[in-house]
Amino acid sequence: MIFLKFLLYVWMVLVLLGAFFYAPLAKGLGEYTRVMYFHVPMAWITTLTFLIGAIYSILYLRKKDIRYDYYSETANQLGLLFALLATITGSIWAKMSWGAFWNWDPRETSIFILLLIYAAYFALRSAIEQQDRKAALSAVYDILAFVTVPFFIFIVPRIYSSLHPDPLINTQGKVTMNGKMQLVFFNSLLAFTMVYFWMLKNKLEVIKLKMKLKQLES
Amino acid sequence: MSPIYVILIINIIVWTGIFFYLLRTDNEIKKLRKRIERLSSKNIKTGNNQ
Amino acid sequence: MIKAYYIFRKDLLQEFKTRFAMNAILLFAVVTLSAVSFAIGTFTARQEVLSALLWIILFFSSMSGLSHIFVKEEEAKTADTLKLVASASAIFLGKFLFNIVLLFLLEIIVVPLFIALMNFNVQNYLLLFFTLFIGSFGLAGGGTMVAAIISKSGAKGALFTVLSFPILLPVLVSGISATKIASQEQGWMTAYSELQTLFAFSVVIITASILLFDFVWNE
Repeated sequence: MIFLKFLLYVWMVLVLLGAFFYAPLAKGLGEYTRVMYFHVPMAWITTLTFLIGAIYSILYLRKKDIRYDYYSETANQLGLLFALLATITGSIWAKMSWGAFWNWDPRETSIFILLLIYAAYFALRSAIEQQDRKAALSAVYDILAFVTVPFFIFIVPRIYSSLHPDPLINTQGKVTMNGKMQLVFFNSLLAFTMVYFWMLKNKLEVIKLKMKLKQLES
Repeated sequence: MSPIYVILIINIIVWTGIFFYLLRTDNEIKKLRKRIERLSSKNIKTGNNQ
Repeated sequence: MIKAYYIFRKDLLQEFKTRFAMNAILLFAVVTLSAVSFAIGTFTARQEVLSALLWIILFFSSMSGLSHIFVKEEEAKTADTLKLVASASAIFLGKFLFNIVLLFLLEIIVVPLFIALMNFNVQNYLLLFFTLFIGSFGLAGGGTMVAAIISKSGAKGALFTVLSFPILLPVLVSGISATKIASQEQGWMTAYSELQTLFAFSVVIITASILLFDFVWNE
């Protein structure tokens, strides 16, 4: 197990080296192409972790086990962190390719709304004191919010034309990648996802063990 | 030394930091697990499980 | 279904007695409208700005009144009695109907006033009417659900706008866009995707709310 973790370390260093030296630069973007290898994994992990959080919320409502509430809170915390990172890296990229750190492109608007939703989620959590009530209400809000997320990601950019290059939205993505770039890109995506799952696993494990400890000591 | 090297080095340092932080939490989880095992075995011995 | 109607009628009768929500929502709308009108002054603002302003006025005045419907049950401690009388989805539908009537009332008064005061030129009245109609369903659906969540939490009122704004933003965005189109051209086809979004959002949010309301209400 520890060997695999050191392998992950080496892998990530290789990805970093690849992002900075191996991959060729895209036309018109110059050195700033390299942000892509960090921005896209962050955005992908953000969606993934919010999805996991929503699934745990559904599980909580089904099973009424307080553990799932802690799990979804943890996943959403990580989501907020990665959303912030995606915003920052995206903002740097926007400065270089569109000329301003922030110009309310539909994509920027949607990630801003995402941050707002989950900030509201944590505001709601802090407002309620009773534990089971907090768990149920925040789970409901989480699911309700997650249901509206597709509208920001898929529908709003269709109404307002976006400059954001994205294979999901416009099929003729504006950043075309060659083989070397793709290699680094997918490796980076995978490596970052691995790191994310490691983080999530550790956090969930700590919660599980702490609950057990409490049960034993009482 | 071009600035891209500086950025690369900073990146690697940040990643190393995150990596060792995660390893440390791994160790702490192991400790916590041992503690729980000890506690539960003691409870069984003395018979005050509940 | 019939129970939903009874709850709706009960709330309506209660509302006629006190007129609390109606007064709050309408006065809020008039106050914001006049504030905006004073701020813009005598010159006419661009149509894009005006359609955004119309939706902002509608959104914030509905936010001032929609939460009342559940908060009043909690304050009067009648929520438990209500729980015994009807199922959760009937209660949700009743409350939702009441809120939508409240919103229609708000729109009937505010929109003509807005058009008159702000010199808002509308080319396609039917499109505007249609946008407001579908938009109200989305606003009322999301608003009613968040109101239920709020009434069960400690902080009543303070969090309501914060929680509902991000959820209801698709309504605002596509509503503003469709209103802009209604003010600029005669045709329908350009507003097609906006109306589609509004409709899809309303259906999704109302369905999700009915499914989830049980968990909030019986908490």
